[in-house]
Amino acid sequence: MKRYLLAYAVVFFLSLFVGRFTFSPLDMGEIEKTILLDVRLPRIVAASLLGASLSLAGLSFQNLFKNHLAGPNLLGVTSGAAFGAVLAILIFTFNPYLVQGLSFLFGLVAVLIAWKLSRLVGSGTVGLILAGIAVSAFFSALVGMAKYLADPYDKLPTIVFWLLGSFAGIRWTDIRFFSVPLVVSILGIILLRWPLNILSLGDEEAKGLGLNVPFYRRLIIGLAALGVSASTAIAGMISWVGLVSPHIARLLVGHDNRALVPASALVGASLLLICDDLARTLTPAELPLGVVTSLVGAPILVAILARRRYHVAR
Amino acid sequence: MRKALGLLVVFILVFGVVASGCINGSENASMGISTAPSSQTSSISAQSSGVVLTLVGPNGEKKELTLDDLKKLPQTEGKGGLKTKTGTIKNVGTYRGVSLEELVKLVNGLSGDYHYVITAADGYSVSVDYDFLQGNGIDTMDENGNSVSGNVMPILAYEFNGGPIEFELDGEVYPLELALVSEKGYVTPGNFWVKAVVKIEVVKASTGSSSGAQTTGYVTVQDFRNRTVKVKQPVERIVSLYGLATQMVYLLGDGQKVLGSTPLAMNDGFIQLIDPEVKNRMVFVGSPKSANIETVKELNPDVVFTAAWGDERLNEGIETLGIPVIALDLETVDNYLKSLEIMGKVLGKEERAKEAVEYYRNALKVVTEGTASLSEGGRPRVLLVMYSMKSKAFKVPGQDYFQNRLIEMAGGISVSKELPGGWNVVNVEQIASWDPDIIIVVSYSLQYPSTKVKEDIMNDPAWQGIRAVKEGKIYAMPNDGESWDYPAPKWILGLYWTAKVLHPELFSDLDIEKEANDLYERFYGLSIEDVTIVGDMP
Amino acid sequence: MLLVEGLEFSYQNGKVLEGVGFSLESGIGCLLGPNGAGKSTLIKCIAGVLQPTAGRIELNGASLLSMGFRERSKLVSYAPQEFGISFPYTVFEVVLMGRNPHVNPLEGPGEDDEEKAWKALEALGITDLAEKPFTNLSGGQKRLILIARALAQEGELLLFDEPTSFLDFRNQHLVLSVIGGLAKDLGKLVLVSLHDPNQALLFCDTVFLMREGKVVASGRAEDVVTGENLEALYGVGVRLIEVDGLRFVVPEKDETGLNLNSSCGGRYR
Repeated sequence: MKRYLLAYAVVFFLSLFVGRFTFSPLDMGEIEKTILLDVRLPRIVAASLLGASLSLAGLSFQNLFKNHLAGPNLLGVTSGAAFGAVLAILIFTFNPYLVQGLSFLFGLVAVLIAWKLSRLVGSGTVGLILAGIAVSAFFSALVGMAKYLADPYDKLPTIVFWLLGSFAGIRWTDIRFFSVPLVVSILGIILLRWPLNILSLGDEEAKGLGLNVPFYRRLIIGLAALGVSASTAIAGMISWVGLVSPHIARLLVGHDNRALVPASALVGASLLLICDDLARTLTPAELPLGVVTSLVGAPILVAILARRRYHVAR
Repeated sequence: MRKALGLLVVFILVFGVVASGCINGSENASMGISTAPSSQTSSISAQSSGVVLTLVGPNGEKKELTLDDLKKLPQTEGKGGLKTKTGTIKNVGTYRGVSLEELVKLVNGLSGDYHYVITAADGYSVSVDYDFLQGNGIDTMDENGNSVSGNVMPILAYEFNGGPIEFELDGEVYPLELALVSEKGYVTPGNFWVKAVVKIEVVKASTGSSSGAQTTGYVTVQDFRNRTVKVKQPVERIVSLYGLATQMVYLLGDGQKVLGSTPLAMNDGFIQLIDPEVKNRMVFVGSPKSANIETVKELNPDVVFTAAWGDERLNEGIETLGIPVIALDLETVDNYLKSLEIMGKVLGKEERAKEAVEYYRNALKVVTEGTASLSEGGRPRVLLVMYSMKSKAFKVPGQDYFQNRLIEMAGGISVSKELPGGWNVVNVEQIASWDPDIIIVVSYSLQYPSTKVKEDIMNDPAWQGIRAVKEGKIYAMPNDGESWDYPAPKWILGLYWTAKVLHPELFSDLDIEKEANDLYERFYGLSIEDVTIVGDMP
Repeated sequence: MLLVEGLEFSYQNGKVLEGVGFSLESGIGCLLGPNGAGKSTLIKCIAGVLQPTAGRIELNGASLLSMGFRERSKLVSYAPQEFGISFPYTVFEVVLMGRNPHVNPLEGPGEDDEEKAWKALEALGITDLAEKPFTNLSGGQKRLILIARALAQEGELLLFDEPTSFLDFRNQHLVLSVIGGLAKDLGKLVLVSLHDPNQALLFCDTVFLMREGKVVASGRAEDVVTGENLEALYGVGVRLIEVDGLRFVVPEKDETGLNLNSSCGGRYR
């Protein structure tokens, strides 16, 4: 694990000195310092926290639902959060804090709705997945509707850009509030990595092994939802990182969550950090983050799937 | 039974495919005329002894010319090329022929009162005005298709790169092409390069149609899709899918006739000032790319204005309901003025439109003459920013947008003009890297006006290190309900303002407030005291 | 000692267990009965996987139903019929997971736990499989590993739900011998469910016949597994044979094939 921590630290450090405004670390005047501390650093911190959080959420869902293709949006959190933000953009213009707030709120609301629905649909994990699909589709449809109603000169491009995800303009004030749910989510899931192992055996076996399955499942889903909601509120919809990072981490450390959970967090943080470095440096205009993560993530996923030596049982 | 049904389906499918193929293609290109002038001699003998061009004067007098006749007239030679709708640059080379001016002189047709219909062998025709003959109002581009300012001369060419021009149609060969040439070889839009020209008619402008009838109660105009559109007079009910066009209607004084438009117009503070009923009256109809045709029909308009970049299928849909559609392009100065003229004609407000065009042209002259003498070094590097609705993220205009042209005309260089498309999000690092001399802040909402954006920028520690902010060279673009930087009628005030901001010494006697008052009075019947303007006044 | 009384359980479509009652003092108990009798459901209720709607379950005097998950799993080890593991954990990791009830959830297993897991592997003689991914192994090996896990869990009562399913002839006997060994050598209380009467006779001390959600007969294996009872239970005519002191059940055949009684539910003795 120390190795991976070191690798992440290297990425972190390098990211500090990458950007459109080039300068040497030895020759830093006033504006260079401001850019480093006030512009790049908060962005790097945000990217790391988000990458770790999304990755852990993806990993948690992959374990809970025994599905390798689960990502952070399985229960509709991201779609709900997206809708919250879009609603704010449409109705309350020019208040970015409201956009973030509503986004966070609706992300949690979506999970709650999925939870309640799952009781109707069926018990256990299958019910949750089905309810999550329904909730996700519902909020995505609402987002689509909002795009249609938005005027094409100002609100629509704003919505589209927001949906594609971006860290543009992130400063310390934005992170201050959301760092709390993010850190809680990340630490929480890391602490619960052993029960996650047990949960991944399936409801019955986990109960047989003495785990209070309903309690831990709710807890982990709640922590994951906190993290994903906060992530989406800050930076919009970021795809692929939550899905691909756990797989990369698996290739490095295997399946035991005791090592896999912290490794996933580090891989997720590094991956998103690299993607954001690209998004803010390659061209004068900011590339939407969701585009970069997809372009980077999809080939990685294919490479991983091609290399897989193990196969899923049954 | 099933088999018969299956055959019926197949038949319908095949029929549909064939029919759609036949219905398309009313353009020049699909009628079998080769698209490049060939310089080889064809097997059909050149018709230098036969009539190649018919000229029709304003009173109907005809004159027929042979190729030899043409060669005896004053010749014009120059370089040019065309840019197709899809963006390809072709047929670049040297053309030789007779200028249109010379030709119409032969039938006493050279006057601002006339316009000219140029017809090709397949029936295709374009209508151009006196301005066009002088080479005005034409988009000029460099060999890569990027807009540059320049002058071209329209000629009827018979020679391309030293060899004769030959267009084949139905076994006949036609040697004439309408070409736009210049010394520098500017590229121009392909829709003017009419192939196989056979007739030029001089038509009196007030009739508006080549048949000369004045009593039909229609006007005919050509819009930016190059379609000839007939609009019944008088126009009392208007629907505008293009917000900027709505603002233009208000400029011409017919704003109250607009029944349906877009959120841009419906939330426009300035329009609300001059037309307080607007929110009750105007209905949301959609945009140039997508609109509810039924809503449009319900409003029963006499004409629909849309953008040249709109969805053609939507336009056709509206037209099949019997409502004329006029597509306008407002993103360059020339096209803006042209649109003004077209709209003036359609609304029966030609005088007013003419007045407006003159006003704009004069204002332009004042600014461009002032800045013409500026060297490259004398032009400051300007950054125009807009708040992006994401905290502390800003947008800058890319190459497609009007703001960059505005800056250029005012004697500056826009740092963001290389970026693609419209608004691009940039972060403060990139701005530091650009290191602009002057920053102009714009905002399109009075809830978060440009002055507030400027304040936030100046208080932001990351921006404080940027030279332009340190030197205090940051200015808030005025907004009187409409921001002065985009192609609303007030852009001319934006031009004045920008020129003064960029070059205060050159325009020291330019009083922005006076000019604004002038415009308000002339076109809107307001004085400057009636209007709330938010922004910096230099 | 395991005591079950008046146990009832229903799924949505109907009652599965109706007033089940039996007791197991020591050694290996076997639930024997046809498909759908409720054997799995009963075992799951005892294991805490399912929550019965009525009844009592007591182990050595302590009521299992009133215990929390963790407490109960310290006493009761459960190996399910199906292999629910979908990630390729190593064999060692799988067995280690058996230590969960004894482990602090925030800390995970310690050295102590790892030693016990290793010992469980040794007890079953499968230490050579320790690093192999679970999902790549054969059915028999997987079964043994689950037994090791149940062993590592250190429960007083070991529950095995149909441990012979999916196994070939040899592996079935291997698994049952190992289970038998656990009971004898380690003195654990074991309850298995089987549907082959011969296996019940060979390996189990006490047999409980189950049919349609009830225990219809209980007692020593040789007393309960009789021709009459089996005929009544399965509707198949059987004969009992003794060879070398061992009893075997053999289905009876007449001219038409197996002697299948159309009427089940005769008297049980």
